[in-house]
Amino acid sequence: MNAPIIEFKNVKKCFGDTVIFRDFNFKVEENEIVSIIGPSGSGKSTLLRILMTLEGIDGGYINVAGESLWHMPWQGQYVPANSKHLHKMRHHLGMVFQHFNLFPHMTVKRNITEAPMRVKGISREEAEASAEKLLKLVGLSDKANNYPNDLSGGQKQRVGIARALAMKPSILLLDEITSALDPELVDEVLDVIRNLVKEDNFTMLLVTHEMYFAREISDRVCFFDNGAIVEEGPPEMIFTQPKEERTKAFLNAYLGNNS
Amino acid sequence: MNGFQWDWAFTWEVLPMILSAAKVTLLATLLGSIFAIFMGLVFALLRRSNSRVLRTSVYWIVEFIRSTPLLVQIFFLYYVMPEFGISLSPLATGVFALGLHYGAYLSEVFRSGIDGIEKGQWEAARALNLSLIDTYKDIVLPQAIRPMIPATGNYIIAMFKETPQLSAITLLEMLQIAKIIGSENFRYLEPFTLVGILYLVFSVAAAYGIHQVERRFPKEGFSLK
Repeated sequence: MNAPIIEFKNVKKCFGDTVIFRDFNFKVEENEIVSIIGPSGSGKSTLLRILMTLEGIDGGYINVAGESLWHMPWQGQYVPANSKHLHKMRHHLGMVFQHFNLFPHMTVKRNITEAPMRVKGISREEAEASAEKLLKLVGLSDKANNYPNDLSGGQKQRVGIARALAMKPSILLLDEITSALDPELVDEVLDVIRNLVKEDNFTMLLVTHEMYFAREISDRVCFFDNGAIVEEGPPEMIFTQPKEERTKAFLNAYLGNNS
Repeated sequence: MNGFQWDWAFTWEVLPMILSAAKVTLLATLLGSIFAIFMGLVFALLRRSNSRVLRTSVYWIVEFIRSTPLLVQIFFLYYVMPEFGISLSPLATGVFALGLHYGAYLSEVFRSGIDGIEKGQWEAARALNLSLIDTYKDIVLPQAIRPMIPATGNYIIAMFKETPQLSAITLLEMLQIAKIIGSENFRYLEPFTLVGILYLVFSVAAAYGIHQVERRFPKEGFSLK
């Protein structure tokens, strides 16, 4: 087996006096789809935000695609990464946000082409051609010239997915991408993800409250509580025969509400 | 002397001279505001720098400029700088002083405008790996400009009304010319009244213009091609 594409080693993370991760270890294999479930405040989103370099760490190491994410080699030892190193590492990663975070002053098309043109130096023609393909993939070809505020929440999030994909990341981070949506708009977004994983290999890490979706799409489900993985395993196991009391209590509360 | 009698003939005679001095006033304001906007942006961005030393020094420079009178700064630039070998014309000195002084005020406006941009926009830019420069140029500033327009406009109008201070370094702007005309003809009523009216007209027109710019400015900001 190859080395894991993501590996957390004894990672420590605090916000002021609040400890999020004390001694956190976690691995994701290449092309693995991992869902992270658990109560809010358990550190699920922080995990993704650390990988996307939106939050630093206070200890430990993280490897992404065989290189240290937050550290770099310098004169024979590992030192905190500089912005150049982080810039390089971010090429592996793409993120879709709970609140979309589209650029409201740019058209849908420009939202998607901005980063490929600016960061990768791709020509406008090429970037727009690839944006059109992505818009087709997310079913929004007719909205290319609209502004985000003309779109529904579900449409905005589909643009968010297309925008992240435009940078061709090998690891896709989905941070509660349907939590800000009205219930009737959730499926159009999840369908995009369903199609995506059908067509292509992706390493995907998703934080979600959609238990049915997590069960359907994941190779592995991790139940998070208090900054630690309480229980993990194939979805069937976690959802039908959870071993830990905390997992049972959480799933009962959740699936009880949803069904 | 019947000082309250308005002399129309004299008014028409001095109006062209005052109007041509108004050009100097407007030029100083225009160049001063361009320089002030530039300096304001530089100060605002430096105050967001990662380096604490830089942030703190810029903070104190801005505080210093804002807390000392404009006239002192004008005198300093005009009379003291030549001792260090930097000698500028009255207009250049005026533009420099106005730009620096109002740049310090504008930096606060720009800073709060930039702070008003949602955290999510910065995070999206970072997740897409945009450089800091592209993030400011394409994402942050285009959205921050609209809320900055009213306060920036007010400062530029305030700057315009402070241009008479430049008469202290012999710049022949409106008020200075009016004073010269007055002393040559022993009539101050008409020239000073004209200057007052011109200030009023320009200020009201500028305020209206700024309001229009703000109204027509796209709510979400704009994007560069």
